[in-house]
Amino acid sequence: MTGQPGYIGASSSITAEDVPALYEGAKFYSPAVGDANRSSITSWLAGLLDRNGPVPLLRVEGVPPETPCVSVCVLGSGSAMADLPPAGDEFEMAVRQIERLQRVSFGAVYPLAAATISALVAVVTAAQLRVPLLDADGMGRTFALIHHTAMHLSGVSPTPLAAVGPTGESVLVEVPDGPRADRMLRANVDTVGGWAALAAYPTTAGVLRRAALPGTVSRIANVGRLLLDSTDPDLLVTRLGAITGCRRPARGRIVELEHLSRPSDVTIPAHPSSLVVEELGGLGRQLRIELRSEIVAVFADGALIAGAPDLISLLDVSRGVLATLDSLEPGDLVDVLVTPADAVWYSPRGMEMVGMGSHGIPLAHPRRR
Amino acid sequence: MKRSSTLPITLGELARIQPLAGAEAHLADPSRQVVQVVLAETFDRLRRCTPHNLVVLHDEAATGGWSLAAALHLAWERNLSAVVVSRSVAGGSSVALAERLHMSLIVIDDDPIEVALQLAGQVSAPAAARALRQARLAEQLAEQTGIRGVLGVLNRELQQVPVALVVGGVVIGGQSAALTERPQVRQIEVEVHAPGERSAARLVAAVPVPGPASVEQVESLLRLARPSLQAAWAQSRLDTATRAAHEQAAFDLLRRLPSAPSPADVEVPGWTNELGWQVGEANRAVWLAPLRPSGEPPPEITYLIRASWQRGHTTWPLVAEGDGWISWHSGADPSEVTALRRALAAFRDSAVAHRLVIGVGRAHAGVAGLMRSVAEARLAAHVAREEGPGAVQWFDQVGANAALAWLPTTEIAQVADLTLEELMAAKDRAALVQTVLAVLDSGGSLSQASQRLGVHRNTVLARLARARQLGLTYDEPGQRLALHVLSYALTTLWSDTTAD
Amino acid sequence: MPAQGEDVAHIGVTLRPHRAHAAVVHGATVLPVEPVAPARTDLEGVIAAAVGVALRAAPGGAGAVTVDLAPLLLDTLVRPEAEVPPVAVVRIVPRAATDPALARSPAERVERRIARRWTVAGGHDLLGNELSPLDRDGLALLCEELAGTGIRHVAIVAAGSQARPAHEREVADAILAAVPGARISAASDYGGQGLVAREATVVIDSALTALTERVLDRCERTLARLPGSLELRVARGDGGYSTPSRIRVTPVMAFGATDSLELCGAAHLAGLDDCRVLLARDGRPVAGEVRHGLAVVRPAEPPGLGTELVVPMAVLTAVPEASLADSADVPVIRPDAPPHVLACVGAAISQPASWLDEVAFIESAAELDHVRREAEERATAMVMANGAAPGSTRVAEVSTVAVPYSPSGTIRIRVRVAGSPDTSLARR
Repeated sequence: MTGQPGYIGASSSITAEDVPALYEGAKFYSPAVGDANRSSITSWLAGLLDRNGPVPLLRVEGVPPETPCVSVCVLGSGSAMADLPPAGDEFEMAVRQIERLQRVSFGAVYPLAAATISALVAVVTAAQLRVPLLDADGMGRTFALIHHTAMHLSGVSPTPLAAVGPTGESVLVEVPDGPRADRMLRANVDTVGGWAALAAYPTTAGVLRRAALPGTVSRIANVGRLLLDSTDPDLLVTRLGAITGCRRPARGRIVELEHLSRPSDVTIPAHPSSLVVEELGGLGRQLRIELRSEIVAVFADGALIAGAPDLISLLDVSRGVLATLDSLEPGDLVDVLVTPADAVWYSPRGMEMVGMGSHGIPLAHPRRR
Repeated sequence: MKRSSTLPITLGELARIQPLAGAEAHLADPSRQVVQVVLAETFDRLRRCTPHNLVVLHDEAATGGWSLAAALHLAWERNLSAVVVSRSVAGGSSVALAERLHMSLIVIDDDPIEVALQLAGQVSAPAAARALRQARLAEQLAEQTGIRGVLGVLNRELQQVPVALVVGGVVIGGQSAALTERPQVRQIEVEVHAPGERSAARLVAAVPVPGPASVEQVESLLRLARPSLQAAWAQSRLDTATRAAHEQAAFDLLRRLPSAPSPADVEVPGWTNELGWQVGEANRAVWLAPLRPSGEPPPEITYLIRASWQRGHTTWPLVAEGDGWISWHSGADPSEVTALRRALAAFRDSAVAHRLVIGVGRAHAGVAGLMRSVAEARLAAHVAREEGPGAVQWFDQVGANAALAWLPTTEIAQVADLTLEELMAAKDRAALVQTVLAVLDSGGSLSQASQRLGVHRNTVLARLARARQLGLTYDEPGQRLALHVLSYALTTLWSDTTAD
Repeated sequence: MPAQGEDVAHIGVTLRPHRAHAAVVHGATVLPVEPVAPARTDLEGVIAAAVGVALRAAPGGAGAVTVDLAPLLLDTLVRPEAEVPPVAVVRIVPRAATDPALARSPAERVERRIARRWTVAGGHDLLGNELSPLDRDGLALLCEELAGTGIRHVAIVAAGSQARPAHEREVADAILAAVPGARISAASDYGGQGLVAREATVVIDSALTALTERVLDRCERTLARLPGSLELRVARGDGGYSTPSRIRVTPVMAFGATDSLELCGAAHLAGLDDCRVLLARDGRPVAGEVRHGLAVVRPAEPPGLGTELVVPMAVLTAVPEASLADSADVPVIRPDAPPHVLACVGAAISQPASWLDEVAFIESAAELDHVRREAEERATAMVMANGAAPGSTRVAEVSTVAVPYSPSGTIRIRVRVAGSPDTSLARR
């Protein structure tokens, strides 16, 4: 089942020493926001792992199928979370609310998205609840909405779900239709401070064997180790390619950051903007990089060369680290990295949900042409 | 209707009429034909476009950022003629990309739907569109009051077709490239002068075939320009006549100044500046004179000479004086003649066309110096006549020989007829006289004379012997000067006659 | 009025823990300064020697002295035994942290300087909406306790105070009333992102106040004794400079200046406006960038501190030699001059600068233009307060990016403005 390149083993555990690598790897799979809360989140998690002991990281198959499992993630903006850090009990509270509602006791936690801070808070929650963490997730990267998951594609409902804000206020949502849940939650998230701890997709390990993407937590740890190991952009690209299948179609300098008040789908957060990059060397092409909350498409001289659900990230060449989308500036030298997403996202239903069409780009994905 | 006007309209033509006339056009190739206009609201529609379509982006296809980049790329793939898009969507990088792809991009401020409808009408009825263009052009032409302006409008309108106004073989406005004959270029001409006028003014255009504009179209545009051009020309000649009179009067005033008690102290009057004249440290006069003087030249010719002489040197004076024209160049350095040499070289074609010769005086200081230089230039011009139309003679190189130019050659020839009857009756008289002249010019050196004449020394000897027999006793000291002068006069007269 | 124009030299000084260094820059000439006697390597001796060098080098003598305090400040902060006044921290957030790690600063060197912490309920979101009313009872209790501790340096940080500083101000007013003479540093003065980084910034600010005051007093006394009228300037973390009076109230702005100054100094010596500069840190090569004559800076984690700050400073990255050659579309320079000379040159040539990093909410392109213009105007006003001549200011960098996963229209805007010195500002 593993098939994942670089997968380190059937079962393992996460200790305080793994936290920096987890953080960096999680950032690779969603390089949206900067490091404003890196130190506080990593020290929080490391402290928990020191006090409560390592969190076991288990393959879904390694857990009895009837084990109740729940996913957690950060809903909303990383910037808001940096500015209003958690008190510390939000995720645990969210899980407990569903436990009370469903009268179950969850035997394992898994990340809704094994990327960005959401990957780390899953470890936090497992450590707080003293349950294992599943080496699987629902996205394999980050998508904008909470029903953009492999579980949803497999018919698992995200609800009942609970969201707890840093204010301590909470929302419990029960809807029959997944997409409705996201819409109901967004307004509440703004009210409780711009982000919330979400516990969702309560199900069993047996269901997750077919419904979740396996190996995605150990993958970010491996990617993170690479990123911490070297700041040589060429070496990084080669090594990342071996683990994630990523390639570098171009290197160039940012020449323009363009904001357009274009009609955008209000259900998708963050308005569209566009980045113009002059390719250095090669064909000297003009690259246009479309941003939403993530990079959703790359055009070279107007020809689409990569697009959602591909994971597209920018490597700051002069610093040898991933560039976060909220810190881009004209003049920066960047490598454009394109990593294939999990196969499920290239299926017709996957493409319909998270492909370029969902971002208002009605073009055929380069893989389809 | 002419067959050509139903040919597909070109991008260049469309860009010259509303609604695109006011748009920001980045045309990769104005001669691209436009066979159809497509209003593309979706990328699907864009993908179905066929080559030579012009596409107006709208709605989904014009959301900015990526969409224009992708549309430009699709347009390039589908070999479309141009992409038209709202300004709100097009940034500087879009223009850069269009240039990279060699795709025409037109940025509009108006509503895309309306623009598309208008363009569709123009493309489906190219004749009507062309009529519209002509109407617009007529308006622009009517606004012009000068020849330069009229030709400017024509050359702007006909971008790849150079147009020139030519009078008697001389380009007096526009682009002289119109006269250059090249392969795959057809020259067309339209007469401009008003009925009853002498001078043959023509508009000449060099039309590349095949090119963005058909020969018939260009011709009709040239005809359209004719009335404006006639009016402008009449006006400028009127202006010129006034100016010429003004300048003549001013120069007369200037001429009288040096006769003041101490010529060296003559101050340059301020009014010379108003005419754009300069009189300074080193004034070098130029005399433009007809090869065959025939009294005061008509103002029309003065106009043409002025147009040609002052091209690029608008401050240089041109004063009609007697049977010729005076001009001069002023500067600080008497030895500086580069500008003048260049001007003379540029004027050569006109000089030949109008059968003029040119004399150049030496550089002298002040008003008095200028007058002296004028006299020198005049003398030099007389010498220049020996060498035929277009000749230039510098006084520095003529010196006292200038005196010879003043000899009344016709009268002297009559003297010869009476006194040297035998010689004048001889068939080879010209060769004999020429030989005697060469020997006298060379101070009696036979070898020098034979070199100058390009004949063998023995031939020179034989001719001299025969000339002496016929009465041309050049070696008698008492007669030598008279015969030298006589030989000179006859040679000049005869060479002029043969040259004519 | 200080001497003006081309015939004036400028002095750059960098204060290391055990000695000071100086250099004189006069046009294209750079003169390192050796103190008159080996014993006179303190700041007074070095500045006096530099003024002497400047007088010999330029007809107008020295115009200004720009001082880099950063090495001294960092040394004091990281040396546990250094004498630093204890700092109290007041956090204004809706709820107190339940986890000990979240209640403190992740940076040990910052936390060490904090003698007491209080959390008061309150705070706003990033767009300025109140998340919790300010807990006035808690505030009253805090004031009472604080007065009893004898702590006089207080750092205040409220969630969302960049957008709405009301809660911070109310707390500051209450503390000033309860503890007259308290020296307060409020996070809303610095903008930026992230509560932890903002808190660390004001804590360092509070901790360094006393030292900064002492050093600037010494500098001013020294200049007053020297001939001529010398203007004192203080280098900022972004490589620009500010007036001593500004730095006295915002000492953290001077923190981390050395890296930026070394980059700019190296670029100046190489005669380049745009380049990559290779420096050595702990024997390893690191690289930084200079664009349009200014060091590339961002809010970053100073080496060895353990947390980010919200004041911008140069980012130096460890770079393997191999990767430098091929990516270079800008020249790479390896300065020969020793680091302290680079820093002094960078200080001598520095320009008044300002930096602004905010979050805004826009609904249209026109509104974006408005927000951007408004931010540029504010940054321009700031740079003039930092010593720029009116009319000489230019927007060096401006970037607006959408904040990911935030409501559509939320943008982060950053503006950097530089100017030319206003020579009429000198007070002596």
